[in-house]
Amino acid sequence: MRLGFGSAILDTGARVLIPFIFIFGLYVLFHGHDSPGGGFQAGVILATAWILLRLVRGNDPGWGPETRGALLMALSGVGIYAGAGLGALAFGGAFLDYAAFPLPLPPAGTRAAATFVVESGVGLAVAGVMLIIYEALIAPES
Amino acid sequence: MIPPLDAVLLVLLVASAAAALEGRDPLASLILFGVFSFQCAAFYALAGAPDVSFTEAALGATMATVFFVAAIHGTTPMLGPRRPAKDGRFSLAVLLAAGVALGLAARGLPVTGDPAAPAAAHVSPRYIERGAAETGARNLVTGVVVDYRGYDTLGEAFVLLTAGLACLLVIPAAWLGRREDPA
Repeated sequence: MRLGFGSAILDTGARVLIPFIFIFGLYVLFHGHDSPGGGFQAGVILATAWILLRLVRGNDPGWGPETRGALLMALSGVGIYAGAGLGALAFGGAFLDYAAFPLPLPPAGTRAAATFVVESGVGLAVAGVMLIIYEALIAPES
Repeated sequence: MIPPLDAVLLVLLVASAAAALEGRDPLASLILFGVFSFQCAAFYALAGAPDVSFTEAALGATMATVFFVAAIHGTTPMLGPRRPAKDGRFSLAVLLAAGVALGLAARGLPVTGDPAAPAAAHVSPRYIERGAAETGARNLVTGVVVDYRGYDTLGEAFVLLTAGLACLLVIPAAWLGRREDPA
């Protein structure tokens, strides 16, 4: 086991915690319809797991998304949200009128499905921006 | 009348805020600030707002603390001798006057959970009555945030993205591209 940073205790603790944090983040995202939580909180929790990984493993390549990946996450997240709005427009509804999507579901079900897609977009955007802010804070002075 | 648990939390909030302000060590103040944030989260949960409480615990208490630790880590602490205290009588008078004014104004607020309060009488009844049927979301907050108020949330997402892009500007180019270097 190669340790770039930290100690065996930190490394073992992070190894135990991080999978649970990831699963909890996904649960908060998928269950946002029925329980407290949603895309915003899920994005923060997922970013927490990646930042914990970075805190323990240092800045070695391969641990969590790099800055470019985080930027891609943030852009695609907002893109998914705006795209859902424009998609509703394309199917003849109003902007962000999720019921316009031609899914074989009752209107409330269509809205719920589109809401989940939008929540995933919010989660991606939040996680990406959190990682970018962390990168900006740990970047050395040029 | 303030419920006893709320009163305990309010006293702890003021105590941790005062301790964070008085601390000499930035890291210790930061941890106390995190404690303050978690107490806020508990307060929101007691007030019946689990979604707000969740956000405060995840973002305010955890993520903000990590960000502040990272910021302190990258700066040089200035732990000189304590500055001599200025004459605080004027500040104290202003604070007391503002506190009295706020206390008097608070008497005009509706009781917590009052169904006749202006905030509960406008659009809330319709959301509560038909939200689950119209949006398919049993968590009313999700239905309101993403569906009824989808425009606002989309705007928030763009604000967040703008903040992230602004942070990218302060990252040196060499640090941005470091993962591609084999070194």
